[in-house]
Amino acid sequence: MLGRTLVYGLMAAVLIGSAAAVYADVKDNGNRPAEMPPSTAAGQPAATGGDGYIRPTADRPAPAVDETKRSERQGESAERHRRGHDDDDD
Amino acid sequence: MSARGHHALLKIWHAWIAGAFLVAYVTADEDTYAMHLFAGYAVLAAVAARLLAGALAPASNPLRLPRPSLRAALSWLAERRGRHPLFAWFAAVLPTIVGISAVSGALADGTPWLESPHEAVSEAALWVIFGHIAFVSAIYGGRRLWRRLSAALSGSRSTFRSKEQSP
Repeated sequence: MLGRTLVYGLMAAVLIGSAAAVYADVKDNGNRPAEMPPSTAAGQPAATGGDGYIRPTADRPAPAVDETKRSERQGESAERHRRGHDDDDD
Repeated sequence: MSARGHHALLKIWHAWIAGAFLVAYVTADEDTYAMHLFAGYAVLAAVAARLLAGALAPASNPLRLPRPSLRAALSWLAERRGRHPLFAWFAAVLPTIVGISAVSGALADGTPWLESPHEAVSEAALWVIFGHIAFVSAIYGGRRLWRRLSAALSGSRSTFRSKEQSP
């Protein structure tokens, strides 16, 4: 009976964990800022180097920063943890 | 619904709350915050479902909420008869402390200063869970283990004696 109880709990954990992972993925995809093609103020494509990579130019607008509550809290929480943690933690 | 059906529901609920708490505990990190939030709300839903079922269930139904009694515990200690009182105490304390952990976590989502109390209550809940597992293991598995140990010990003792007596 004990073994079965443990197995049922683990099965439930797998189900809930999978659902939680799907939820986290959907939430992350929804929060990610839309990837716009970089352009100059005049609407022309931004300059690329010879290797095809886009280089920042004076005309290219700064990317919008999506300050979601989660990312703010992550930053605060990460800072709190860094203050309290040693190098050999985690 | 038959008593067997009610016990099956209890087992399903037990797996739900245990699995959700496990996921919530393991994902209690800023990198897996969304998963932790989801699992935490699953725990909260399980506690709410148990309270609702317990409130609606008729008397002497397995789904009824347990009512631990200090007097019953003292009389059990004196007579050692009947159901062990810790069953009712764990059945009452565990959902309470896990529920407090879930509620404080839900509130901490919008109130950052509640994060530390939430973490403290959750760590305490984990120890209560360990106590519950140890108690249930001792009650259901402990007797069988004790019998096996006793049989093994008495078997090895008789083997030792027969070796001593043989030339």
